[in-house]
Amino acid sequence: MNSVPTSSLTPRSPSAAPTIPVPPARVALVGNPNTGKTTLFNALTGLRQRVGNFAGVTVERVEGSYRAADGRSVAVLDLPGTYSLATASPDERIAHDVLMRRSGDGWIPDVVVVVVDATHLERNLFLVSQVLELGLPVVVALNQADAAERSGTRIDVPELSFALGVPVVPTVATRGEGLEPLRRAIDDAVRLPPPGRRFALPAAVAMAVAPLELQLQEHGLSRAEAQLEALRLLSIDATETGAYDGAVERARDALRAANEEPGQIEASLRYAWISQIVTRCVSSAERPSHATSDRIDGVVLHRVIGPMIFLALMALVFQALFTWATPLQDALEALVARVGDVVTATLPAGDLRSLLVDGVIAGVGSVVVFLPQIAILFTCIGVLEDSGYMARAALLMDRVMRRVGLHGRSFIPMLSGYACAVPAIMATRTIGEPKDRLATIMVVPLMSCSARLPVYTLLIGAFIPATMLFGSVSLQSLTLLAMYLLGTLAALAAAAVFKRTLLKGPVRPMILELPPYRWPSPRALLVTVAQRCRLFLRRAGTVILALSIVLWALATWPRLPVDPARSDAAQRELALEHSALGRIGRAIEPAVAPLGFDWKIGVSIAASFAAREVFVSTMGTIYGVGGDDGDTAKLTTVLRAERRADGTPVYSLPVALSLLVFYVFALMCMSTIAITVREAGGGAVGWRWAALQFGYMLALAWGAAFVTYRVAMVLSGGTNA
Amino acid sequence: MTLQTWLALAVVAVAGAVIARRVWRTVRGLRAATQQTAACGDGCGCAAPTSATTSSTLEWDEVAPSTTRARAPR
Repeated sequence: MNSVPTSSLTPRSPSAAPTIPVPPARVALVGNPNTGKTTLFNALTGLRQRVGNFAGVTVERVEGSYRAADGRSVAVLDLPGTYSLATASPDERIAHDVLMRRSGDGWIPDVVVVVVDATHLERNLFLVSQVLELGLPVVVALNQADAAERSGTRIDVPELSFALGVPVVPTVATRGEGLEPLRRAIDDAVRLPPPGRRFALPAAVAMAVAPLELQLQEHGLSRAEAQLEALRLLSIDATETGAYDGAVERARDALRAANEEPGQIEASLRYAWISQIVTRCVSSAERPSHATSDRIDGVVLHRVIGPMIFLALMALVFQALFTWATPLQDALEALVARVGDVVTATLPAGDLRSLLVDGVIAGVGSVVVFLPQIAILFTCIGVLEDSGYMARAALLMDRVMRRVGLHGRSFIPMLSGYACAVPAIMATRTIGEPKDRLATIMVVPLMSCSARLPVYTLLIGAFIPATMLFGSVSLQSLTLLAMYLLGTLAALAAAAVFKRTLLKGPVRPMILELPPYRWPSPRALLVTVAQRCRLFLRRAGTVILALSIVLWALATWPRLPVDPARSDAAQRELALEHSALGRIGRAIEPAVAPLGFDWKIGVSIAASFAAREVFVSTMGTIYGVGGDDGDTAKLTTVLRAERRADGTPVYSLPVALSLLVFYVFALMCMSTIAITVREAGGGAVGWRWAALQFGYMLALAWGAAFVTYRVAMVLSGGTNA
Repeated sequence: MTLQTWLALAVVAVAGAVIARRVWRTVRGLRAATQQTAACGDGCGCAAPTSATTSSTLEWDEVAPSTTRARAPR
């Protein structure tokens, strides 16, 4: 309850609740974080929005719909989780604005479904008590009813419904149980009398807040809203009460005179009411025990063992990326080569065949072969998230995060950055403190996203020996782990710099809800992994395909007249250099030559600004065009064999390490820049932050790659071999 | 020019158009972001987005979550 948007206090024209009950057309799902709102939303609408076993998965409103029994379409809005209507972070504000009927697009719910975690009823009822006062028809979905039963908690549902004055429907969203009763309750809710405040204010409190309520009503709020808002204003910071400063201060003085603490009045009144309800409706194990979770946490969150487990888990993930994916990747490579051979055998030599074999198959094929790695990465991330471990990892990292000046909550978006920086930057909306949020946005792209994985695995697979250390850990997977750790450490260091310079501010303690450990749902996991694989393939089939075709054209024209005196290989190399792509590459080369890169690498880096995987496809296309006609050799083999004019290998270990380090730090992603512009505030402010982000990451990438190359050269005896 | 060359050029033209369309959509998305107020609208100077913000136009590579209005499968 740190801050309140004064926009929420601005006057608005009163919107009366419908007087004639009409079937609901718009339903909003609200609730505390991690209560299963999105799972219920998916079950109701048949959609597949992302779910996870930690708070803050949903940071945007998402709309879907379902068909009611009479064939009517009912729109359902899934809102980000919030503990109360006192907004502290941007994602909570989204829920607040819809419920207070102030969303920019005028989306006003006909019915509000409050999703309540049955295993944490007492805490969840705080939000319920606030929503009841909005005057909108309300249905309570008592979700995870099965988990409550298993833990020995018995909830008297009819009694709870009576106490709240609204329908209460037990649901198990993960299994789709209780959906039909819920749909019926939603339809019936509009015919019931609108709910309201279920407890009476003590006389002294009522008298103290009455003038404030009146003033709020004069500014256009309904009576129910004014009552809700008045209590909320008393408990928030004195500097954030906006136009109501005077009235709020007078109400506070009156309360103090009556020996009441204004800041705690709302919480104490609501919890007193909730306590009565829980006593009446909940029996036996009133506070469900989480003995198993606690026992696991005793080990997982241990000061010494905890970080070791975290590192071991990460090592296991990267080991899996190399060892498990290899057979599948080999099979895909063979398939791509076979397709290339078939096209070569079918079409006569010419531009179209070259386009298909050297452009499309070499370019797109070189990226598609990394599909197994993508699937394994997202399976591992999904298991860690759904099991509840991710929230523990955030807690473990809180000490480190505080040391660099960041909020512990920043770690969840940073972990999401391992998948993709775009949703990770959006996930920073859960951070209430604007400076912490901006600092997190600025460093999230340093976390190695899945788009870097093809680049890493290509280079590591080609140039790091597959030696096994200690008999079971491969050097390649350790190198991959090192790349991810390097990115993470750089992100923490960059955050420390931002928090001590441009974004100086106090470090706030983290309060994080630890979800109980659960077995990941195979279905949800499968859906997530399938979605990610589909996205990866869609990128390969759209952006990467289109770029491969254009790059092939640039690498093919203008043509060099054939010189019979030259060998075929020399002729192809000269033709490539003569092409538009070669000329662009030569122009870029001086900027990348100090890092050990030739023009082909330079051009691939520049092209990968569209999407990092394009680096791999560009290399595929360049070496496809520059290689033997119709040859579809593995890209790793081609890279290992590539030689300079003096016979030294182009891709030596120093060059490969330099390139790896460059990709750890460089912000080669147009989407990330676009999302930073928007999430950093839009307008000139957003552009400035995005430009700073791109600039510092590019400088860091260049500098680190330069140092890596030079040091590696010295260590390898000063040769490029 | 041979038929193969003409066909290859046609494919390249289509690919170029696809890229141009995506660049245009990204630019449009960025322009929309530029027109957005530089703060949450509260005057507090924080960088929070406005509540109705959607990301429907920031779709260079389709990774940007643009599912604000999703359609249920049949």
